[in-house]
Amino acid sequence: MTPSTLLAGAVSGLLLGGLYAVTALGLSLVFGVMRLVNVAHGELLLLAAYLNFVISGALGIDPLLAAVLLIPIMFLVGYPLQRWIFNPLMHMGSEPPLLAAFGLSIILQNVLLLIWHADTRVLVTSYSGMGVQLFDVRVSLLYVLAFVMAFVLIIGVHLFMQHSYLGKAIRAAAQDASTAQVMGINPEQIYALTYAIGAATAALGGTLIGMTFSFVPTSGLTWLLKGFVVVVLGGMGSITGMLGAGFILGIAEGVGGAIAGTGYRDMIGFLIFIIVLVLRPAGLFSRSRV
Amino acid sequence: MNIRERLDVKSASQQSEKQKHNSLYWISWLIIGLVGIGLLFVPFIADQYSISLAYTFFLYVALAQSWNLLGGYTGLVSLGQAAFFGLGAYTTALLLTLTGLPFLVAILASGVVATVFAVAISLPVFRFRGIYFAIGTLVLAEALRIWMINWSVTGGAQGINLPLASLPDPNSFYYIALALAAASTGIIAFILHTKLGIGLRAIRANEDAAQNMGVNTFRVKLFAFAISAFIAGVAGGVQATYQGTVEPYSTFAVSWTITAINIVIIGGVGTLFGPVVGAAFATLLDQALQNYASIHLMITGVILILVIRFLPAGIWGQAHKLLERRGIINALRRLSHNAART
Amino acid sequence: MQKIRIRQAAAAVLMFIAMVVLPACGGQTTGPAQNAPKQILLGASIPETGALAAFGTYEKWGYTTAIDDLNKSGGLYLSQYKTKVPVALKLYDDESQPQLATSNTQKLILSDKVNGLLGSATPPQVISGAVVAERNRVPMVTGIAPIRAFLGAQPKWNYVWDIFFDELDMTQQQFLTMNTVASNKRIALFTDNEQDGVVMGKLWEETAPKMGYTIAYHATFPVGTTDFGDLIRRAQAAKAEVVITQMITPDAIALWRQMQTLNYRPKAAFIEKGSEPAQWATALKDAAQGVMVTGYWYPTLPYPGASTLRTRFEKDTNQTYSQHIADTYTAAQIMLDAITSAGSLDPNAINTAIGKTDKTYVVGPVNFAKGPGGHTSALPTFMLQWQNGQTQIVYPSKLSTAKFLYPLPAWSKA
Repeated sequence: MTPSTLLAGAVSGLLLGGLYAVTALGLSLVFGVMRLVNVAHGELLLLAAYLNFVISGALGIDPLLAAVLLIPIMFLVGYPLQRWIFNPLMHMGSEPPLLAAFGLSIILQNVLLLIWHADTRVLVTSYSGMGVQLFDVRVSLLYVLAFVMAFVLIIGVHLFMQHSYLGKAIRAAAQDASTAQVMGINPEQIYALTYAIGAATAALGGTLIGMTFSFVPTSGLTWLLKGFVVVVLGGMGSITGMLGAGFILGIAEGVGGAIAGTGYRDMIGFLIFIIVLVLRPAGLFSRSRV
Repeated sequence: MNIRERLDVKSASQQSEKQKHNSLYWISWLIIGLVGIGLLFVPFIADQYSISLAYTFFLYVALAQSWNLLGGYTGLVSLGQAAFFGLGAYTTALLLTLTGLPFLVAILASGVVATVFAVAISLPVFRFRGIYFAIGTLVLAEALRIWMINWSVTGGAQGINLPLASLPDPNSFYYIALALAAASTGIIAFILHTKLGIGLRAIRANEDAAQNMGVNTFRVKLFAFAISAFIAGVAGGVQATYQGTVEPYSTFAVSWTITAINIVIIGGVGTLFGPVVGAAFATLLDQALQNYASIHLMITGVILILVIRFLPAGIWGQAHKLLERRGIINALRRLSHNAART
Repeated sequence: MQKIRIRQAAAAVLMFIAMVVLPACGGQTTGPAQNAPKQILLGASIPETGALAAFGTYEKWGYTTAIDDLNKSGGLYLSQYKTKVPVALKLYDDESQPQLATSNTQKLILSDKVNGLLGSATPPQVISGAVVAERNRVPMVTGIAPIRAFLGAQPKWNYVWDIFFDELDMTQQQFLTMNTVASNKRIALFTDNEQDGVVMGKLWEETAPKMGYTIAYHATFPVGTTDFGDLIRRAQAAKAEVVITQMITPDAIALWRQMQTLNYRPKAAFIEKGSEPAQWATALKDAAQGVMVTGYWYPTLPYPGASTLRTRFEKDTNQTYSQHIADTYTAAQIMLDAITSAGSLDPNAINTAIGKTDKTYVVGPVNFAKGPGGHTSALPTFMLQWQNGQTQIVYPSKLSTAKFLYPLPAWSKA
């Protein structure tokens, strides 16, 4: 272990943090607004990756371009899921929706297995193998791309939530559903739209995952748990906090992995998660919303 | 009313029932005895494959009951059952491979190891309230799985091959699993009549209120956690010897947790025989779709969602309520009253 | 309340038992059959999908074709019944997961009641299924499982037989090949932590100094690793000009791609197991050029039917062949020959007959009694190199079919 490997771990981790933030965005949004722990989020990311595989293959276009087409598709997938599965359960407390999300994740995972089987897939591009030199460290071009996309997407969503009518309506419903209702906002509709937006962000998240790593239908849990870590670190309160959280996780993994061994990388995130939750068991999710 | 509240009303009234030892009571026990004896003879008349199916059924019952105690009766929705199961499996594998301990000792030790782990993590884990408990247990279970995949001491990805000579005869697994299923159900039935049982259900209804009423919530939760872990650990040990090999990817897989939860919820969460019904359902569905595992799981997921939405008491719970509503139970009660009088 | 609940529970359980028992009571005893069986059933759980799907393709073809070939002549002659009986094959997909290999094998034995088993692919899968076969005393013949890994799984095998290469022999080939060229003799090892990685990693560590090479860096990682960045950088820092790896295909593809990204270009690379299937070359296209992998069978070898086996495979499937078509075809043939020799479907008779195998098949000479552990037959190894989408033998020279390309040219622009 030399300083240069630690530095390399930190730099590539920082870049990867952007990707982590993007993939966790939908999870954070849905939990922040509806208190719904969408354990099917990992499978939504994978669904996007597989659909991208199909679309970019069929149309012969770059996966990032296909992701743009994927955004409305994933939106349309997410809306009915919230509307018909989760909305009727929202009044039952926090566990039934969680368990229903569990059921959804099982369904989605096996749909993916049935259609695309368990073979490992990658979204390959002509620039997949390119590397760039950064701070005396060589990293994959894909990491840099993901990093840039993360900024763009997260700041975009943040601005949307702050300044658009729908964004403000969502924040209103999140803060106080009954008052919002009095003001003419339909919480059920808002919830469905929020979930749909979360699924739409998964379009890019899944694409980035598919390009940077490989994926199989059972990869969903890994990404879900990474998402949990980012959400816990970043706090429900802020979309922009996701970026910081992603960076922290990425760097911790990169440096920790360099010290402890590549195989233990995922565990580092889990340890962070447990420690943070132990120190602030319920208070991490402050009342201040998106 | 949510799931918990609906069930609580029922169980509270049950608690206040005085038990009448009338003829109906003894007839019920006779039936149970006959069923029990019947189960003992099944391996003599059924074919090998059906026996292996029955093994899976009994294993599922035990695993489901372990989650039922925690999630059904105490209201602690844990998503980390696979951790206890896996620890039990590995403990048995290590004990049988490295020492000459007999099978029974090994699986009981597995339960103990799982319990120790449960107690060890209880301090941080019980600080997580509500939904964070669920996520926290899931994260812990997955962290354990990754640790085991990497840890060369326990074989890493190679896993452990149990010495075939130390394993019970394949035919005896039916009885081992039957005993396990009966014991796990019995343990819960026993607990329900103790102070612990009342404490569990009080916590399920409202933890803070229970605390205010003088229930030592931490201790009660700890007991439930420990017993749940013990049962799951022993089940893991049995499965390890049934398979003959353990490896971390599947032994600690979240699919064990998912199976347990599915069975309990579909069968009837927070009831004694709900998991039995749920396990029967799962096993039969597995049989019907044995060459289409993905479809089987998909259907289970759909049914899980439907049950949560429309049938929160589960198959068994709902059937029971229907019979109650139709007055059949009252009628039977009157019958037994009359029979006792004559 | 409780009594009623109990009664209803009893009813539920009784119903289940009825559903389980009644069908079984339909008379399923297999007494001594005077009439010939309608068919002989062989079974196999193979990775048709998942990380090992490539191996599954070759296995499916090898097993199926060997059995079809026998059926063409009317079937297998069972001397006990003095007639030919057709042979059928039941295949299940274990999705490259060991626990499915276990449950599939159990199903084959208990539900389908196979007369013999053929193995899955790679040690975790093969051993899982083999353990079930061993416990239930059903004979199994397998390939695609290196011998020491196989032997290490049980103190003694009685019903399972393995034909493949011996790691003691195979872990010499890389050094022998490198001896024919000049390099700085520094090696970077990448081994995963399943059986093959552990066994071969240890052997390479022991053999290297004896052959005059240095293991400059040894990376171990779990199966399924996707990010090799840190490991690759350390190998670069260790200035290793030779890379030897033992990992499954998806991991190997990821490693090779990331080496390209990080611009680590060794002079020679031996990507064991992972680069064997044609899928490796298809996925990496030009980047696959020059990578080496140990071979144990080649169509030009002087064994009966060697060259035609390759052409038949490529005609049947329209895919590039792999050496695995040979050991799988042979495994099935060994089982069929053993049943013929036993003359009956008695598992122990078949098992004994397998043990007495002493014949040259398409994959080479097979003799279990003489092999390590008395239950394996070792195939001698040589070195293959991917050249223009095909594998060529490059060592030893007496077998070679093409010139050894060395060193690997710099990474071309992606």
